[in-house]
Amino acid sequence: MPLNFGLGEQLLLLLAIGIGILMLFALGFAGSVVLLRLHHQRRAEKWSVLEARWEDVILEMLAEDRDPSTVHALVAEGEELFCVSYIMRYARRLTGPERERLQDLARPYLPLVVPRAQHRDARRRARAVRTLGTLGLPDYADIVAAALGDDSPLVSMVAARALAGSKDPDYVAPVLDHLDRFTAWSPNFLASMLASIGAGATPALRAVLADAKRPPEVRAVAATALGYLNDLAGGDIAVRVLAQASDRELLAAALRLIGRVGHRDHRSAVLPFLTASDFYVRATAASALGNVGDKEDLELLRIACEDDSRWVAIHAARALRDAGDIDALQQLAVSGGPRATLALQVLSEVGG
Amino acid sequence: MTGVVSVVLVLLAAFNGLVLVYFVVLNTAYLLTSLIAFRDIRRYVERLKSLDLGELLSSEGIPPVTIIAPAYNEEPTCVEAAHSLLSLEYQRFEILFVNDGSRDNTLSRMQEAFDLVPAARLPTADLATKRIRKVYQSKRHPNLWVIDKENGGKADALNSGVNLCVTPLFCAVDADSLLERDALTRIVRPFLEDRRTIAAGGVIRIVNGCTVSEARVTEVRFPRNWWARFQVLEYLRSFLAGRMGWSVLDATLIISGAFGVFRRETVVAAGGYASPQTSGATVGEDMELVVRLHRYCREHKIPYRISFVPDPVAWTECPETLRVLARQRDRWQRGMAESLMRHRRMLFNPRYGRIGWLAYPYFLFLETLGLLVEIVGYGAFVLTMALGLVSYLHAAAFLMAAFVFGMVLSIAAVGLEELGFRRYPRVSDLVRLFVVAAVENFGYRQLISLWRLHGLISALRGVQGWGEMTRKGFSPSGPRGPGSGQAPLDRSPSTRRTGDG
Repeated sequence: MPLNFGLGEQLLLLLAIGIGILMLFALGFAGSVVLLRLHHQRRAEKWSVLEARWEDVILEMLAEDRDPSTVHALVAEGEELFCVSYIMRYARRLTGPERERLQDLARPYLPLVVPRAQHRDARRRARAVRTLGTLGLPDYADIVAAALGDDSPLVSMVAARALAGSKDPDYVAPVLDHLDRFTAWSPNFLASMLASIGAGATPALRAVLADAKRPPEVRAVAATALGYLNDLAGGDIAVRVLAQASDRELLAAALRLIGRVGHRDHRSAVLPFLTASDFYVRATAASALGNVGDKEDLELLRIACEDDSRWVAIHAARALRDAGDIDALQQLAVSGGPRATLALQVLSEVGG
Repeated sequence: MTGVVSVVLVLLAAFNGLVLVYFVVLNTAYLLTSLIAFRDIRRYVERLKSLDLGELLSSEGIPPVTIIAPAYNEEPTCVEAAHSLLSLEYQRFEILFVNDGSRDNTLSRMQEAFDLVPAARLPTADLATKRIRKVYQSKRHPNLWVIDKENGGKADALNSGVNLCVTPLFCAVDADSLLERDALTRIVRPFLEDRRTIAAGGVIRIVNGCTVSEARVTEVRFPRNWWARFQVLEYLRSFLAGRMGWSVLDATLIISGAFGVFRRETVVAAGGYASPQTSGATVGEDMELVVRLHRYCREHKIPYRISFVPDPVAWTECPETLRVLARQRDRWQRGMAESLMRHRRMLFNPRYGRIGWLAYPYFLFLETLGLLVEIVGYGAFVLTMALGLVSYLHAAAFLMAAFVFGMVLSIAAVGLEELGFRRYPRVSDLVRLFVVAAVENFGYRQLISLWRLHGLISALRGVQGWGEMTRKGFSPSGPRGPGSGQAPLDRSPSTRRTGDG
């Protein structure tokens, strides 16, 4: 006999089905959460076991009391990648000979990481590149350098950081060649990354700064990195940049570089920027003049302390302080003028 | 007469239809943001594994940050909170603790604890604020400054801090929140990775029930108080599902006032926080600022990003009494309504892109005006049953469907927590969260809707003021909350009225 449902019954049936489906979802979600928790717990337990087995031996190996082969003997089949992850925890904190010992320890297992550098998931690729960049240089330098051109900006940046972190000047050129890809990143962070390579990076950085064909933001990063490295030769290039460039970030970076490494001969290049229309450039010029100016420039800095822009005034006051003109600041502090607070602030920064 | 009855019945049926549509659309939106969040939290966790936070911390290129902590009558918690901020793991930061004309001993507690001396500090911006009485600097911690000013409200206190900020970024926090040590490094990351970033918000978690030692949450425990338990689940839903989902859609409209980082220059250019001294008072100054930043950047064609970051955590105390909870939710809803009303020109305006077409309509129609539909819908539902237009069985089935849908969304939020962060370590905590996900549907959610409706009506009537928030202070050890057997650090609870104005 066929069932005859009215509209009410049909609606009820629909609701019942809906409730059933939703209940299944709720139970499914709850079950998945519990299973996930159990999975995480099992994984944590496995890690505890592995850590207990490896920790002391690895510490002894780092202290040169044991050979890497003693650790290898404790790594069972299927545990190799766990071991690499474990080594990475130490590698992040260690440098020099201790890092090299960790690299020796990881060497037999790194071939297992290599295929992951081609994984379709960018985050997996990034992890693999980071591992190879930390534990596998120079053996796997080709793979890490190739990752600079990866479609994923994450993988590309991880590769750049790994190469820069190796402190090997040979890797400066490929990283600088791909710097255009990272212009979304904070310029100071990029400069800091490049500077971490060390003094060996300065020739390549100078070349980038001097190259008018490179994008101004890339040249600005190079200038900032040279500043972090206190590269004296960079000052002369910065002077040439000031004569040619118009981009505010590049001008400011060049002025900062001069402020850091410049000398009296550079003051004439800085002076025109004290009257620039852009307050950001004026402020940076005031700071630079504090380092490269001479006594006759102190009056200019005193005037800059009264600049309409408080940022310019702050930089000028600090420049006066750095130039040793404490008297001028003390006079400003007792003047009762609008910048008296600034002078007091800057004086207090040196305990004056 | 029959004609009138027919019209009423038709209207009732139509309204019930509207309620049904509202229910389906709202829950579908929640479900979609949850699903998006699932995908992205998994990706985010994987991404974190390829980045080295320690390397970021040690980078010379990490931007200096000013933490601005407005405080009003925070005597029980101010010293602990300042210690918590001082213990942050970040290379270059300073703290501006703004005492907003407190009537208790907040200032003297700070003076005693940190050896404050008067100091000079030049403002770098001119946002209009109440008068600053004095600026102090700590002799023990030179990066700790205390700004003592006349009472002007939370937004005014924040603007005072922005005026005195000399770093490119500032972090707005509630003075009674506890930031995790690496929270600042984690929340600054979007600013490193994308120079267009102008604001980023972190996660707020509930500290009730947790063990706090030396201004740090040392053991995460599920609270014993049921009101707090409900809120733990609500916060998980709101932050991990809601805000994560909206952030992926590049349409973040809310960054909690308890923990957010902003680019100072953009905030100043946009006019700072809305206060009686600037663009007019609002109790939702955090949301209003974010909406205004969107508006400012789009009107000036400035490329920008506003992000939500799911792993930096600020712990905060939530209300444990019905009275205080009601006031909080009333205030939150008023804040949202006021923010949306101020920027109503963004609605469906192509100039504002996905904010005007997606986020704004969602918050206006579903999270604000939808409350009217929801509350009146409860009444219409009862009336429909009383008139015999729908059987009790149908009614029960419909309510059941609504409750189970709500439960699914809540359990999904617990799943997001488990997938990414696992802050509640015990399996029993998970089970408790599931129980809360079921129980909250019977009364709690309806109460919250009622309070929010009250807030909406208050906003339409132009009511101002914050209401009181009772604080216990941070416990030095042991779980907190009623029945925990642990006394709070400061024995006398404070009564806080943040920003009397």
